[in-house]
Amino acid sequence: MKNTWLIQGLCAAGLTSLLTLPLTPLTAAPVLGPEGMDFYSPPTITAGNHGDLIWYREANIDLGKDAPFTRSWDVAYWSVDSNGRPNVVTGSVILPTARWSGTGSRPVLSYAVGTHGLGQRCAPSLQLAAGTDYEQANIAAAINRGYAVLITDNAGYTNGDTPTYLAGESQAHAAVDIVTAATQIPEAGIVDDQVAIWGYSQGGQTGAWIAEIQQDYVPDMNIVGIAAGGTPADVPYTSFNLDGDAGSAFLLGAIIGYEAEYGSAMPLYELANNYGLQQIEVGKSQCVFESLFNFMGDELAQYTLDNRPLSDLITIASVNEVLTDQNLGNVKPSVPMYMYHGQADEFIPLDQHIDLKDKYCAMGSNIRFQVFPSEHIATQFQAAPYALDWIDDRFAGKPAFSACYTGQPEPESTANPYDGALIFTLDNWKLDADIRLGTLRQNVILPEESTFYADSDVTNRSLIGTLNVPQFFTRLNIILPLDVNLTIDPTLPTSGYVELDTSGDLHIDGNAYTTVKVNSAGVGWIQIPFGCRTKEPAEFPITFDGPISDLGGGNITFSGTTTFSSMTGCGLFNGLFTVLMSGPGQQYRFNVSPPEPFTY
Amino acid sequence: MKTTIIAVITLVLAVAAYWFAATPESAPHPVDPEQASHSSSTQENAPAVPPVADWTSELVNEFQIQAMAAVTNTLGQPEFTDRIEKRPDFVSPAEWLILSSIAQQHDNPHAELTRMINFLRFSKLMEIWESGDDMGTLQRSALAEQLLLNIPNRVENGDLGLSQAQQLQATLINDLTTDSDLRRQRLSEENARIGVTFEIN
Repeated sequence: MKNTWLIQGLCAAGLTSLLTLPLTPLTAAPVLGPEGMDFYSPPTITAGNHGDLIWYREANIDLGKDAPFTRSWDVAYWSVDSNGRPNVVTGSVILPTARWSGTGSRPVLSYAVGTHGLGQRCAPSLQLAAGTDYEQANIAAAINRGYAVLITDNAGYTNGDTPTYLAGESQAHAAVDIVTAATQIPEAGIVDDQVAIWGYSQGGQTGAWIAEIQQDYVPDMNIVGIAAGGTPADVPYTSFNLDGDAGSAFLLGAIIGYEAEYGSAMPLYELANNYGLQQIEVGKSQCVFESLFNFMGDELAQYTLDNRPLSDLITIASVNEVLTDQNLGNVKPSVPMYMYHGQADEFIPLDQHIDLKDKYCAMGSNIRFQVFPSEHIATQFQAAPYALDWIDDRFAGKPAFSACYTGQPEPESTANPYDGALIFTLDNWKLDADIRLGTLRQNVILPEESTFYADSDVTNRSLIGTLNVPQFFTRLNIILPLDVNLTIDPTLPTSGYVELDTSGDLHIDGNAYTTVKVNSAGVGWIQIPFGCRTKEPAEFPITFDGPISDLGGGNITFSGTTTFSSMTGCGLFNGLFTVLMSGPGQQYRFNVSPPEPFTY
Repeated sequence: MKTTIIAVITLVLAVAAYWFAATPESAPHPVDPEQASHSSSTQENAPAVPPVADWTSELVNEFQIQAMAAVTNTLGQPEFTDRIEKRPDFVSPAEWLILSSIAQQHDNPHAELTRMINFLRFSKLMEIWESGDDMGTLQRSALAEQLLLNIPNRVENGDLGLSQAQQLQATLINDLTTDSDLRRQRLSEENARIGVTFEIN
């Protein structure tokens, strides 16, 4: 099907006529695009094929601190919307400057973004340029693997347009057409010998849609694997989960996006009341974290004439058709898939994704499904190394072993119910910590079994949690190497302030409080018990300011110095233990990271 | 509790004594461990300390009690500023050995030993003050004054944090006087000595 569509007569107003003809040569070679936002008003070209590069320009992107060196381009290219009409889509093409060290040509990864928001300024290509893209950690991780990483903005970020958010087929087209387009950048040298797809949330939907349209849309493209996580596979069902809930912004965004894609089939403006019309305009202007908090908990009925609820709206035949047309599971994927989901996902229900897995498995597809422990946002970033390892194996030509039937019971959702607040629960997260005792000049490493539990209420901006550190032995040199049994006892809850700001940055400012107990000491198995401890709990400031990706990515580290109070309970040696253990300047480092996923 | 900790200390010291004897070249004694067997010049009549290998739990216990008793004799004395060559009386032989060993892990062992000895004295005085229900008012006041005097050194040496020091100053001053104006005045003065200033309104 590739290069078999001739696009003719596309005018600036978007009126098109489409002819399907055999292979047609390009009528216009790609040209350098203009600077500034004029790039987002591509010229009208009367003929071409989906995947044709319209224009491009060198870009400067910012992937954050410690990012790999890259060379990048903005691109505008032809694609096809969900209705089969040609459209123009923008995006980014990023190459590592380091030479590809693997065999064959540099692999190509089409990275399908999650929700960015409907405002044009939220387009991934613009956010990457501004250094504000909340997915930059995942993109950087992919570039660090040596891949050419292509990121479609998805349709609707050109000047004067509205994103066709969550129109699955359109997104799938855009994410594969950017691969074809990228090969046409003269100086990039991109070869699409091997292509993989990776996406999460909206991007997971894109990935799964590619799995279902690939054979018809790009049958000659060598897609070696698709990693798709947090996927809204059953859109009506997911819509009910979002309505009036923490993720209600995504439902409003989808309805706006469907109106942009399907027009009168989604009669948004006929159904909306005055308040709804206002909120639609707000929604169309905001980026994801702005709209997430702005619309959180809203019910669709607040926006409709006569306050018609979703359950009523979905009985409108065309609305029902638009929503159900997004559903996945209708075509057998012909490439291996790595599917994953957060067990505590509060936005996209776990069970409907498992249903999709079951459908694909029943069709005989090659599927691996992993369940991560956390909620939606943390999972996006925790899963990155797992998804990339899986993709690495596909590029390396290793066989993908299907894991459709693991014998595991179906996992139940552990999502926090929405009760007026969005709460990220860090349930049983690994606590990797050490404390350097100043006077003894020795490190105490907390045991591997240490965990951290916290409820981070990003609506009310409060954090409450606790450290769980089992009793453990550490070796301290006090004349001799002594085996000392310690307890780090959370005397008071860990508490503080937590904020997820509208830029997607996380801010934590609080304290953990622990008493340090020396339970016993001795040499080897000769342990003599006693109960020496700090008189007051030690206060460990926990402060963090960084991207939300660091949460799931296991990069939340609290470090600093604390003060240990004088020691008590040491009998006649209180003074000695005070000298050895107490005082300010005790250095600590606490890192928290989510538990491992499991395969279902 | 006392018994078990003393047993641990005794065990450690006994093994240490064996260790030193077995591998003398590796013995961590920046300050001659023999000094642990001698009293300081301030206590000429103290009983001789037997070799470490002969120490028993009871003996270690007795040393601790003697050292604790001796610390009140230091009231009014300045803190050590120079290298400490001999074990002061308020430092038990076990404490001397352990602190000498720990000091060796620092870049300047002698300065570190001096710091730790001063801090040990302070800690013991603090412990006596805290448990001093049966002591006379004069002695309790003398202890508090000594502690207040030494707090700036504790802060300067990093033994106490600033907030810890302020809290301690307030506790001691509240015990010294019941007059709220005097308390505020004294607190202001003591705070100033650790670099904290505030105005009294």
